[in-house]
Amino acid sequence: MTNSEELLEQSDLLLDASALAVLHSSKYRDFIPIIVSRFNVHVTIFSLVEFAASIYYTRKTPPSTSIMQVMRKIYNVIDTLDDALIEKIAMLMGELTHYSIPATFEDIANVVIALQRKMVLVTGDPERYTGLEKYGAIILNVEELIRSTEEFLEREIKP
Amino acid sequence: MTKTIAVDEATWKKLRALKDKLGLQSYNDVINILVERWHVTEIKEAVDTLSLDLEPQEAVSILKSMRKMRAPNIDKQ
Repeated sequence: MTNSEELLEQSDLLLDASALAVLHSSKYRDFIPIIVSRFNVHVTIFSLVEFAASIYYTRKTPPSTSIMQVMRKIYNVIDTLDDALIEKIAMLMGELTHYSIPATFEDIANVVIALQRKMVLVTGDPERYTGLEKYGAIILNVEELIRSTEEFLEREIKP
Repeated sequence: MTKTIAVDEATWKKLRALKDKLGLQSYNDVINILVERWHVTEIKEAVDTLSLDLEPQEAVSILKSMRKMRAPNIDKQ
């Protein structure tokens, strides 16, 4: 078992907007039911706003579809933050500003939530966490999750 | 800790037939498979509702360009 497989077996997953974009693409969307039945998969409301904005921008979904209703059916949505999380996010924002490290609010929130709740942060765009990885969050490229799902399917199909 | 559930005769026969058909050792396994399949079917329906006709790289680069518009200095580290 490789390190990334061990991580996947042991932890809940937190998907960021770029991981959602990759998984909901035409190439990989059939993997989603398998991924969410194998793992506890969470997304923050902030990543959902970012992902939903890209859907509205590209106009790829019928206007009648409630994106939030669909997403809540698929994922565990983190839509409230407790006081400790809010304080940790604010602290990290302050620290990053002090050292002139640019980062968006969504990325900082994802890093802090993954750290505090011991989740693996899954991303389709690892570059966005440059400068944030030193704070200790475990960051996994969504390609690793896809590879693990492909291997799982091969094992299930071949007895 | 185990729990007992009550099913009628017809349901029990269906569960027993499914257990034999799937070659499972226990009714616990049968019920787990039924629950898992139900989740997979429900989620597949939800995923299909949100059909984005985009390739993975295309979807990520749209997000990247939207980020750049919102925060132009974000990738200039």
